[in-house]
Amino acid sequence: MMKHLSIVPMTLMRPLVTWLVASVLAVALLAAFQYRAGLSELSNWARQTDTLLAEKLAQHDAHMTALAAVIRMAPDEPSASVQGLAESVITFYPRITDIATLRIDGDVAHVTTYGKSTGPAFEENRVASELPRLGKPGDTATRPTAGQYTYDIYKLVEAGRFLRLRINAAGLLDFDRVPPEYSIDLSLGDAVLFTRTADDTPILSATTSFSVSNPGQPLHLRIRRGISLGELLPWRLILPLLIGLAAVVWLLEQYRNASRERRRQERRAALLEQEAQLAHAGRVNALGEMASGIAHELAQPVAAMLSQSQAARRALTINRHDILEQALDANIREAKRAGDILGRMRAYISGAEARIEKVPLAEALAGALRLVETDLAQRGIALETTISDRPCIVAIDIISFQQVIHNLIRNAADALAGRAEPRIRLAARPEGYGTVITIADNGPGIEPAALDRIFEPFFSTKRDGMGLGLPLSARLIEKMDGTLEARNDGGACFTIRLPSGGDA
Amino acid sequence: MIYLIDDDASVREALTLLLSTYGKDVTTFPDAAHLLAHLNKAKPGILILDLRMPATSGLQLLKKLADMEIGWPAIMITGHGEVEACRRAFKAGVADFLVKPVDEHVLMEAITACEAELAELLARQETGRLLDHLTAREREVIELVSKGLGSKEIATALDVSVRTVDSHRASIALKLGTPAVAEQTRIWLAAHR
Repeated sequence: MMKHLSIVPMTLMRPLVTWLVASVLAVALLAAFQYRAGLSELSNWARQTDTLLAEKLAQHDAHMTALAAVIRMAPDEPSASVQGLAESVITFYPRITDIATLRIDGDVAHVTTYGKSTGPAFEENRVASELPRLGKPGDTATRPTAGQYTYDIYKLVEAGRFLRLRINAAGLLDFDRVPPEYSIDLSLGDAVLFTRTADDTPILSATTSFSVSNPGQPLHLRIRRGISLGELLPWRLILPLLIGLAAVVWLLEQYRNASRERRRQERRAALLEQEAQLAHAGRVNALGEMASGIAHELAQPVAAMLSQSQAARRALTINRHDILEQALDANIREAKRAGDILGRMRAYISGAEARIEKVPLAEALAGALRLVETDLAQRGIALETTISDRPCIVAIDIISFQQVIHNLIRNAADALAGRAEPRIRLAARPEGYGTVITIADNGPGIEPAALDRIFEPFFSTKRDGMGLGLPLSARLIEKMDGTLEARNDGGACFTIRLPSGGDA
Repeated sequence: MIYLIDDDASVREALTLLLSTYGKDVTTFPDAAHLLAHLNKAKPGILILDLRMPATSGLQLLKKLADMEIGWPAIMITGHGEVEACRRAFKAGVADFLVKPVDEHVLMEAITACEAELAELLARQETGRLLDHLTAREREVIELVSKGLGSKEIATALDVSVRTVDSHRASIALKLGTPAVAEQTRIWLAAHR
């Protein structure tokens, strides 16, 4: 099963299952509703039919009463007055097929039929004992007739005289108005007077039955209503329902996806904010370190200047011109040193405003290398440059860029002091959407413990280093949207990555 | 003699110049290693050391000197007013703890105090060396002399004859270079404070 379903993408599984479940539920609900509607229709129809039948049966009672009265006034038969009334009854009520009087004469009952256009007629005699036993005049009895869809109502008119009405059961119901899906059984006691069966074979059916409200004619009606599949699940409703549900599920899924996406974005925003806070904390921390570094750096020249100044003051007292001169010279030097420290500090803090422009990489590098070539030659350090032939445009602040290259090469040169066959390799090549520049030396490399810290302000491995060269370089490169990384590869190796500057 | 150890050349130069105007003789070292290499135990002096130095810190240097049984008075100087380092410096026995930039007068006061301490230290070492020559019996005698006892009382206390005590006292006067009871007492007490 799962294997079979696995061809459906997981993102579709959920809405598909949701739609299926919802559809099954909706269809079941619809079927239940339809079934209930069918039931209610059946009970409505049964109630109407009951009223209708009761009305018709009451008509029979009324006719019998009228006929009995006329019969009583006509002691001799056949009677023209009975014939007149009976004829009009039969004419207006065709379901009354036969009106007759029965006169008991010993064991025999003489039967006279009325109402036919041909006039009253004698029928064959009946055995008196077959007639229903009725005690007093006015009593009635009902009997089905054998083999026909009719029943007889007997009424005792006076002692020895009966009135008989024969009713066609099929005439009681207006079959044109009976819905075709209804099966009907009309019975009188055990005898079935009339049966009609619906043609189709339904999947469900409901049955109701009742006795017509007329005590004299205890007719029993049984109605069975079939409900077909088409009625239970009408396609005209089902199809739009399924399509509508699919639309709702699809919309819900879209909404769910959208809110999930929104949540994800909120999370990402929160994360970004957290990062920003961390970065801020880092900067504040760096500021603290910087303040500490400034204090440490400036303490030396200031200490020296104080002592020199005090020495100069003393020199005046003890009249030592030479000391005065020495002290003042030293002070000038120390003040310059302090100024230099402040200048470097300012350069680091402000980072100077970057002026980004698009320049060919080779040109920018050549400018930077010109600055160091003489120095390297004097120190006997070989500089090997490998610059990719592909013309490459970078978006940089050229002064900052050259400062960084200069810094890195000077660092490498310092690290190479006293090494055999000192060499610096500079390589530049396009990579991906940007440019990679590596500056590698064959010096001792960076101590692993220091590797993580060399971009921190005031961290220096050099004896007279202030620890600002590399942090400043990293900041300058970052301002050009690039990165500066350090690793050990033989010696120290610094990698600058710059984004592409596009076309010139 | 003042020994100045600071990794910053400018500070070394400036302090040397300043101290020279006070007529102080200063020998400078850029770090602990140089000091230890050139240290002459026979030429005791005042140490002025920077707390923060690469390789060996001022505190570590003091510890090394203590191991070498050099307890010369020391003044610690630092660029930062670190309370913890200050506490440890005093525990390590420094005479003073000064913060850079160091004021001339504060420095001179500290140096003057150290000079007095150094003089006392040297005197103690000197008298200690004189007492080294005494025998065990002579030490017992001079201890009682310094407590103000006379020869008779000493003889009773040590259960020897007065003549014997007198002979010990003659020997002590010879070894300490003075027959004066007051001077002998001063030497003894200086070494046994």
